[in-house]
Amino acid sequence: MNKSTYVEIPVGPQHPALHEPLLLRVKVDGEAVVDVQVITGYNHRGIEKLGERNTWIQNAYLYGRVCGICNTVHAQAYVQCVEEIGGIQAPPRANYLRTLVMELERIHSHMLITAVMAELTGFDTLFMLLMRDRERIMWSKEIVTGNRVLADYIIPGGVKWDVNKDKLSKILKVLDFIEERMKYYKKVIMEDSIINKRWRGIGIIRKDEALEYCLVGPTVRGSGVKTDIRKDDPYAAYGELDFELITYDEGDVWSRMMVRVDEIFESINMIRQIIKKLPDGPIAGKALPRVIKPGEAISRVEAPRGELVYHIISKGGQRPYRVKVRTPSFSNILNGVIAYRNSLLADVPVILGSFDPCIACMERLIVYDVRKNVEKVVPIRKLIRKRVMR
Amino acid sequence: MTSIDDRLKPIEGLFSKVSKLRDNRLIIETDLEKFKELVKKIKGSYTSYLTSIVATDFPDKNVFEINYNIWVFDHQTMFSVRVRIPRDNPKLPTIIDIYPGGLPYEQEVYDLLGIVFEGNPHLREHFFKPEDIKGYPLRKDWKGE
Repeated sequence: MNKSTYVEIPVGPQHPALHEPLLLRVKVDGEAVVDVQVITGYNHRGIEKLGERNTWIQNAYLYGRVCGICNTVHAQAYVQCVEEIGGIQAPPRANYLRTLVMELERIHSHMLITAVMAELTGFDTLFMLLMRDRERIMWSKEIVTGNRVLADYIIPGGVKWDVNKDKLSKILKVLDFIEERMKYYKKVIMEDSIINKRWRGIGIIRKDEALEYCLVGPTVRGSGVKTDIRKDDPYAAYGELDFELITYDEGDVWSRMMVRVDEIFESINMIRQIIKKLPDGPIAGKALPRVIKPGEAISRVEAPRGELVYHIISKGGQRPYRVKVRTPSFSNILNGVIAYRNSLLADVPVILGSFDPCIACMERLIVYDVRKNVEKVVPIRKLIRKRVMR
Repeated sequence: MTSIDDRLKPIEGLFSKVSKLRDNRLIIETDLEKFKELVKKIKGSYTSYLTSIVATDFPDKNVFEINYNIWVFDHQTMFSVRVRIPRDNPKLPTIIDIYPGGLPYEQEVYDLLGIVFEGNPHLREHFFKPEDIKGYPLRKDWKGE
């Protein structure tokens, strides 16, 4: 086929199927996708640079804001690094509570993407039902952390609030409800003919490619690769919990989504174990000193979307020298282009959705005020002052 | 846990120094000449994937320090391959022929620190940074102009 007969269709950056700005330049030959180019750069916030100007404690709050959906895992990954460099440790009860919140977050994140995928497939009823039930998990998160979305719960050395029996029994009730509902939704996803037609055999990523292209999380487990940071490199209380590593071998959209659905059940079991085993004791240990010694740490956690890596370098002092954040979506969205081969134009949003794309996660770096065409750095202190003066 | 030496046997002779952040985090320092061979050998000898490329500017030492964090499944260990390049000639060979998934990582480092990965045809500025931002923001001497 002559190159000139291809048509290029821009999907995004503002597009009803994409909830955040990202441009997919899709080259098509009729309905068949020939090539997809991912264009980024619409959502950069400069968080890595900003982190170099903030103190260690300020950053614990800043990095929770890299992504709204998975804010506690970002805080956990950052705090793990800081605790390693600063030589402090969280007490066991805090580790269990951190794990509890991270698993609640995984459940609501997986429910959200399953709902969004249902919507992208044209199955709006499932979207509505899943979103309604997901709200109960958000309440549970609020019961533990005090906040529905941005928890600001994990701090260096421990967690902020404790739980009591009342709170835990409320959470257990919610879990019983969600488990029943998810069993039903799983049946729908496995048996519904529309979902099967739209998700099965689409966007296939082979097992060998999945590693080669550095894909992570449910995306790589959906291609049959047995990897999960919670098992491979246990952190918080995961080493003491019993759970299954879910994989599916098909490598298509359906298997990536089934990994998530099954992980919800695993997370429910994990939370039950946490509540049963929750040790007594303090929820925070020694506080983080204002000035931290020189050092370096690399921490990894399993975010709902996959492996999240923080690499922090300290030269001593009140601020980090370098904070590198490699989010799971960065790998999955940009390297996931291999999944669009041999697909049809109508499948593009479904394939992108199956990576659980989070653009805010992916683009984090530069933040600058360009009013009056003047480019300048706006340190957070100045922003605070401006707000106060107003 | 196997000893450090056992884990590193297949890549012996290709690095200059090994240090340990904790049991399963090894910093493997190497020089520019041996760097690509080392990465190739890691890919060939272990089941692994590239988790990230972390570049840091050290203007006081006049170097860029680049870490290739590679997770090795065989030993459940992070091999952090570290190479230093001069700040006034920031070039090093690409590794996308070894780990194709390294492409966006290299694009990001090029865009934000101006480090050129020779042999990577897809490097472009403003991959992440907006069109109106000049220079390389993650360099320590960048003033936002």
